[in-house]
Amino acid sequence: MLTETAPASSPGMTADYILCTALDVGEGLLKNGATVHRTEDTVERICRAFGAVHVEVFCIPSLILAAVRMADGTYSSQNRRIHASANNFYRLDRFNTVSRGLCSGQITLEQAQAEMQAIKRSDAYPAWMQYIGNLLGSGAFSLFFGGSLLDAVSAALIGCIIAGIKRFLPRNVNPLSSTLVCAFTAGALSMLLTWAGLAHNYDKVMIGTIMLLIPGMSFGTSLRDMLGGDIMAGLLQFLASILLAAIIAFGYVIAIFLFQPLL
Amino acid sequence: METFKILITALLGTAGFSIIFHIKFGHILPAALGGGLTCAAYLFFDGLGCALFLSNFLASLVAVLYSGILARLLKTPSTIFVALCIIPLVPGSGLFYSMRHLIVWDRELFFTHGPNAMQIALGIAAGIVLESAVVHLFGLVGKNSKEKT
Repeated sequence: MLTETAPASSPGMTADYILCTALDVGEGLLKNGATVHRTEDTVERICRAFGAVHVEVFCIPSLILAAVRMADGTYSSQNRRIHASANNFYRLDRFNTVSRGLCSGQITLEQAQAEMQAIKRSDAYPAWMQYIGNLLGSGAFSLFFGGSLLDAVSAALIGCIIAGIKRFLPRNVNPLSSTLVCAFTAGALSMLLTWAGLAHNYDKVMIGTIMLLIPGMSFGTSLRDMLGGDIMAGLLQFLASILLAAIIAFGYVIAIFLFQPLL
Repeated sequence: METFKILITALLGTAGFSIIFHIKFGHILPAALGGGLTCAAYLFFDGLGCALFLSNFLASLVAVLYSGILARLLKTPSTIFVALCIIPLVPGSGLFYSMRHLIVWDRELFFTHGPNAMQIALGIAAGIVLESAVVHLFGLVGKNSKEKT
């Protein structure tokens, strides 16, 4: 339904509800891989589009704090804790569409809520496509970094297993521990497949699988955040990406130490 | 032949990552081509004799520009494509070898692989940073395009 009048005039809209919906959109963006700057910007735009005269938003990768004051003087302050985020650009794109719709007045807050409920259950591909993606990613990069065809096949197999681990590991596991589990499993399987004679160079197999675990962009985005003025967000992400790289290295090293005697 | 293999695997690998990052089906091909293009740019600048930092920086600029153009054409945020296009540059092997030689201590090899991985990571980051700095400087361009999309 397209409403011609400005949505700010529709009844039943409180500061609480407007801010809550704006934060739902912000949470959706941040959880699915948007930058901090974009999230802050989106929450502010939505609140302003619905008649807020004063908006304060502060965002770091794990938290959004926001407060709004409406024209009639009512005030609301809410926050959201973000526990885990992953790159899901399909949902990111749809949350973006909701945000654009809200800002331009094409959809109401209720429609936005319904749409966001639908987005949370939606996905671009069926779940099994993740296996194909991991298979392609690790196999191709094993070849890319100089592995043989058999190394690539082993890396692809391990990529599939990593996809399985990522899928079936409980959601509430801390991201660092789940990365450690993935790194150790990938390292151990690379050693075992080399021992079994399928792969020739275990290092090339490991490099193919390591690409699946490295947070590629986050180092770059953390520097950009800091230079753009979001020092807190940038620092946190900078530390997180260094820590993640160390954890990945640690997982592979344990595997190499444990299985080295086999080779 | 070797170059061809590298380009094809970069393209396929980026396609794999587009599925991992759940991008729309129609965007997989442009993203994969971007990965191949970035890798080709890196090989080109590397072939010209540029240092590791510089060739990665220039290649990541190519990735960012390509993503910016695609984002305007396909009406999606450009971060989506940047994240994918730079993947062939990510120093996976550098990280692996430096940590391996850190643990099984080999001073010489550690001090070749470690700083190399760092240079690559900084080069990529510098490309991303420069792009956003330019967008901030010409803030009007950014705002207008945001309202349009």
